[in-house]
Amino acid sequence: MSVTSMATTSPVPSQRFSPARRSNLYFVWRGVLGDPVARIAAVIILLLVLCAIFAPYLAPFPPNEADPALRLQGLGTPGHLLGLDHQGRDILSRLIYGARLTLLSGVVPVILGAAISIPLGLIGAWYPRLGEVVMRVMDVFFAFPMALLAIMLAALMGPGLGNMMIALVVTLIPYNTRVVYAAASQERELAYIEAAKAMATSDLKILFVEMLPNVVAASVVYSCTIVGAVVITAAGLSFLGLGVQPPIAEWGIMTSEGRSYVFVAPHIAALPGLAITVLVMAFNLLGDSLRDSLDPKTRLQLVKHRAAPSADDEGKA
Amino acid sequence: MSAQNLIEVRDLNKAFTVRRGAFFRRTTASTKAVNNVSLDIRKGEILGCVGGSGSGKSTLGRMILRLIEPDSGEVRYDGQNLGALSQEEMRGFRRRMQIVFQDPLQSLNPRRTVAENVERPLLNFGTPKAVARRRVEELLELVGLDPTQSYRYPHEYSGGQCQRIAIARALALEPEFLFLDEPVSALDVSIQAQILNLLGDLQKKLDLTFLFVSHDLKIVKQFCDRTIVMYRGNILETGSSEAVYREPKHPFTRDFLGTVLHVRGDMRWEQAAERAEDLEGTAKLGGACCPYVGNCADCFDACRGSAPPLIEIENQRNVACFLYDHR
Ligand SMILES: Nc1ncnc2c1ncn2[C@@H]1O[C@H](COP(=O)(O)OP(=O)(O)OP(=O)(O)O)[C@@H](O)[C@H]1O
Ligand code: SF4
Ligand SMILES: [Mg+2]
Repeated sequence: MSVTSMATTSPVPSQRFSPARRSNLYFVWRGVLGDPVARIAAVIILLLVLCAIFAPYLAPFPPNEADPALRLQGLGTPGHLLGLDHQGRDILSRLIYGARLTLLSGVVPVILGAAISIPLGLIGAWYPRLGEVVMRVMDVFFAFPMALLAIMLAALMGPGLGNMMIALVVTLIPYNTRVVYAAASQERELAYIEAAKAMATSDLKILFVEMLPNVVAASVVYSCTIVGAVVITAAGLSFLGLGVQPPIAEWGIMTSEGRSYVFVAPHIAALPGLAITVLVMAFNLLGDSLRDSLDPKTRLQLVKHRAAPSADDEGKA
Repeated sequence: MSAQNLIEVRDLNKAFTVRRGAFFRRTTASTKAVNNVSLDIRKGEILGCVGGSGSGKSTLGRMILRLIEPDSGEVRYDGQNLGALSQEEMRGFRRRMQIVFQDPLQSLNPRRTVAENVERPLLNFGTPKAVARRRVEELLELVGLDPTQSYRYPHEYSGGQCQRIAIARALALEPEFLFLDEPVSALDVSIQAQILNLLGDLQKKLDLTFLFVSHDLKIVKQFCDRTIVMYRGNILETGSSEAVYREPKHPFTRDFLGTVLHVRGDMRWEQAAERAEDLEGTAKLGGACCPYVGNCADCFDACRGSAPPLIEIENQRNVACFLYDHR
């Protein structure tokens, strides 16, 4: 049998479904849109972001405008759909404004933390001596519970939104780095990395072109699941006077302020608490969906499975 | 240096030290993976390398490609001592020698398309992207794959097809030497023959030199010109594949071959390999003696005193055994 006469063989899947060269983004997009749960999660997050951006236009009242006559009024009070808090401030408006700080203190530190952890974990896994040092330093951080560490750091730096965010980023780095380090240490042993060395791929390219796509999903999924804990930690810091200060509208602060009125007007604490829960769940669900759509092994099935038989956009390969 | 040798390996040694335990109280255990190995690989030949699991075959090949650094000894590639090269000079030699692994799926980046996998070596050496894409198509055709499907991911292909992709990638830089580390061991028997045919055709067409590792003496006999037999990091026997298979000289080769022939009823190489591993396992003697002394039926006094050198007993046949050492 000669090479040239050998019939070319096609991959196992049928020809019927043949998406053209699609980018990762395409699959993330399709994966999220095709999954009803993830779709809801994405919509919720999008709405929150919009609320944060357009708060002044959306909120019926300024966040700190109080009408003492209507203190503690419950849901459905005329003009105040979600009721009023203990000072007579409109809860809906405060929730809308609160999305700003909640996203800023809960989501931005997670993103920054991941941005630092991913290169740190990759480099640590690649250079074992350096990695040993890095991970031992991380171990020191692990000795403290996450909340305690955040409190210590925030207390060292003093109150304020910026300092709180830095404290949260630093707190998050050890966790996310460990996730990336573990994933990268596994990847490092695989034959494709040795193949990359054999073809003279530079260390930098091995790490950031070959290995990165294989470890980033683990970090993204982890980040999505940690958002909830960070929102709650941020709220705790604010509660302790180490984060943003009342009367600023922030969901965590709102929840803790409502504590004292739990029996008189439960909605004051319950509504921002519910908002945090929804946010956290939205990120968790999105994380699951992202994991599937970032993985070439599962995402084709996802798209194929969900594509309606008549979906002819698939045919234009 | 003989002009016909592409690769000359001299006195190559490698010991692995495995560390266990945490920071303090760390224990170390050392394995001699390759022990004083010397061999020549001639231009244009297929040199087979057989031996049980853990006999140092992969380690030897990796040191030849300088993917791991030897403890001592020399690898001369086309007359040039690779160990003396700087990283930058080594880059030039990387174009000339490539590797194909046992597990084809694992040897491809799962998150890169087939095209991206195959074009990586080209891009590393500065081929413009558009040229690389065209070359990828040629390469995929060369190994019998449909180039129009190259946007797919490796897991969409079967094991044999992935091995073709890996071979295409290895050939991208037009190397003259391939280290084939058990390229068919992970494949179905029916696919094994296809891949071996492909490799054989490519070798003739592109005038390649192979170091072909296998557990299976039978495959080596069919595929390779010469064969070396390894055991616990030592070369015990070399010769033409035909001769080693027909007339094994070293007691280990005989036993090894015996296990292979024994299971001929169902020619599953794994079973043969397992039996071979049994042969590996029991001998645990250290120090200066024949490495096979613990399992050898013909063992006599001299065998415990020192390790037999690899000597030429007849034309092209080398054996490391005192039975043949009549000095
Ligand atoms: N990176 C490593 N660290 C520690 N020990 C190693 C390493 N690589 C190989 N070894 C050891 O060196 C010895 C030889 O291994 P090698 O992989 O070369 O054997 P092999 O002949 O290729 O075996 P197989 O047929 O199983 O692939 C084995 O005992 C193995 O445990
Ligand atoms: S040297 Fe002695 S022990 Fe070793 S293989 Fe030969 S006969 Fe057996
Ligand atoms: Mg091996």
